[in-house]
Amino acid sequence: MRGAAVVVLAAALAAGSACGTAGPVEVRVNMPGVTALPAGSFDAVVVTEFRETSTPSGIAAGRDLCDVLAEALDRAFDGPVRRLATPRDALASGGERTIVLAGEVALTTEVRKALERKKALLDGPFRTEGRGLVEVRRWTMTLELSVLSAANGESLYRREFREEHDYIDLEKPADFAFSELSDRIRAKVLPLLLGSPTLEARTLLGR
Amino acid sequence: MKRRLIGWALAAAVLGFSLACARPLPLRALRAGVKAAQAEDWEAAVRYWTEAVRAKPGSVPAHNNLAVAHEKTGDWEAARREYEEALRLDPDNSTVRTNYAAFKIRLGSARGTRP
Repeated sequence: MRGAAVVVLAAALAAGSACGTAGPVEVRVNMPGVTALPAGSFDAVVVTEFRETSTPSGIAAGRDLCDVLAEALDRAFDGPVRRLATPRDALASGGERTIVLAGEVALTTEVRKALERKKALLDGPFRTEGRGLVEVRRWTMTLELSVLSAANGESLYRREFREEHDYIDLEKPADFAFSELSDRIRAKVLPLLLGSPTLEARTLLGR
Repeated sequence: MKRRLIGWALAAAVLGFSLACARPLPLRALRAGVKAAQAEDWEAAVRYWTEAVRAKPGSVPAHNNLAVAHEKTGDWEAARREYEEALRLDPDNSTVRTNYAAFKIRLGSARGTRP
């Protein structure tokens, strides 16, 4: 009798645990990258020199940014990556399943007043004593990127990228700022074209 | 006599538990899908959740979970459809709203202007 009772009790416990409530379950999901163009919709890329709307003298931002993007794409993309001077040259070739990167780039700078945080007192919103203002040089790079179809010149995608950085050193050379800002833009453009998976949190519902 | 009574009581408890835990098909499929997803078997999860939706088209959890599965496979349009259906059925469901917001932010980060 005791044996039977133990068996029954075990069965009851099993049944009880089996019907435990299943609330929301958070999962970490490795999701494929979101791309600007449908995956697999192009086999080749042509990067053209970007038209410069505003750049400091001594910096060929359009050509240099073209080089930066083309080199990065060449490393990451399986298909051929070419550089051309103008979109017209790329469109003249009329390549099927080829996209053309074109657009405008601007690299601008200005001197701004900024709060020197080390001297700032944070115990009142309007107190000014003890706060120090310093001058910083802000460099801003703006890229108006257009993705065109080489086959028919159709505009497939357009987006503005804007990156800026403040330098305490007012004499920070333009090429230094260009290098830093173009690298940030590259880091945003490539995943858009090629996609890069990310780990995302989502909640599944069990009832 | 007393022991016998205890035995019967236990048997009754088991029966009670079993009846309480008997799940309809959609719920079974729903939970099986969650287990499959936790084990990274998303294909199986989609099968279970599709089955759950077929058995109960108004199942908010099934639509929510299917949306997550479609995100996993990169089928953004299907994911959007499922999220929107789940929200149409239960506009105040905070879990679905949170998932959908994260989905839209992620998708929006890739958006420029598509002429």
